[in-house]
Amino acid sequence: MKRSEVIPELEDLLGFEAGTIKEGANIADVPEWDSMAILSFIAFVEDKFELVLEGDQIAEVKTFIELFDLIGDKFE
Amino acid sequence: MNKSFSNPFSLIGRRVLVTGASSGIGRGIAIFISQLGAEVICNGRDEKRLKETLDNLSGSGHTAAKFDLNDVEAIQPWMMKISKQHGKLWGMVHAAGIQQTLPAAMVSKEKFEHVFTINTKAAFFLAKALFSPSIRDEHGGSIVFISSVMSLVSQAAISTYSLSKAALSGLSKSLAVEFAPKKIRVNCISPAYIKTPLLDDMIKKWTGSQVKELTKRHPLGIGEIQDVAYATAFLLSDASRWITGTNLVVDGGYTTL
Repeated sequence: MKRSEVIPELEDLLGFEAGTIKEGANIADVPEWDSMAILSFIAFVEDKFELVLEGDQIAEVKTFIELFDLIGDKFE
Repeated sequence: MNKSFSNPFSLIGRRVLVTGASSGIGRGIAIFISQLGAEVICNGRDEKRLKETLDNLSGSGHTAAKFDLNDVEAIQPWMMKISKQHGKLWGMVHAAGIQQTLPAAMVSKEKFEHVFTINTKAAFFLAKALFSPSIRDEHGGSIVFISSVMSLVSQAAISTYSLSKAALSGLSKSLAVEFAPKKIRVNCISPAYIKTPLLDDMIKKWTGSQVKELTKRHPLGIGEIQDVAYATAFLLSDASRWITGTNLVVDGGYTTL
């Protein structure tokens, strides 16, 4: 999966309107991004990239750019 | 004059199959019931880890029985083979289980079945097989399903786990009635969070504050493997001979809060 495909797929999975997640945005500015979204993101990354992220790693990041950076070289 | 005393908690001469015996709660149960005299058939998928369990058992007559419980149709022939080789079974403890933290939106048919097959379907087919006259001890027996407090209360993102464990309660009640004429009792144990490798894996996905919060949810603190092993031994022994179809909550007070 390509990096550009992550946002639309996540929005779809989480039932968010398109455009809710913007890569440059601060995570704190997106109220829909709650603890369920975080759990979904962990499961999504495990499924699509065979990568297990830890809760503390995710708690530390401030922006979606940093969040997707955790997937690192696993992108296509 | 000494009165003769027969210990109702003893498991001497009882042959018991324990699934999930290669680690965690299953291993702890195998070890403790062997100390009470049971002959334990240890099931798991990893031969090396089963061997480690066997090395920790007391007494003799124990066996490792490697088998993948996902193959539910093969459970009966597999147990038939065990009873032919080692003798008939008094009891069965289904401790093998899969925990899944997954928001409902992420649950696919495969993810659903992955949990349900081991936690629930296998429980049914193990009990069904044990009831077969060629497998069960003619004097009676005891079946224990390791359920979870998540069968009684729950939280977000564990729907598949919760439903798979809650189903065991209904299963044990119906089988308790059906198997009673053969003096086979069927019960569940519902532990809250227990310190196991499974829990360690789970809480890796949590933040530090979530872990602290979890500890606070247990008035007596997070449980130890022995806490479940003691309750299981009780339900396997004659000390619980008038108890069937029940769900023994072993949770350090988790469900009282």
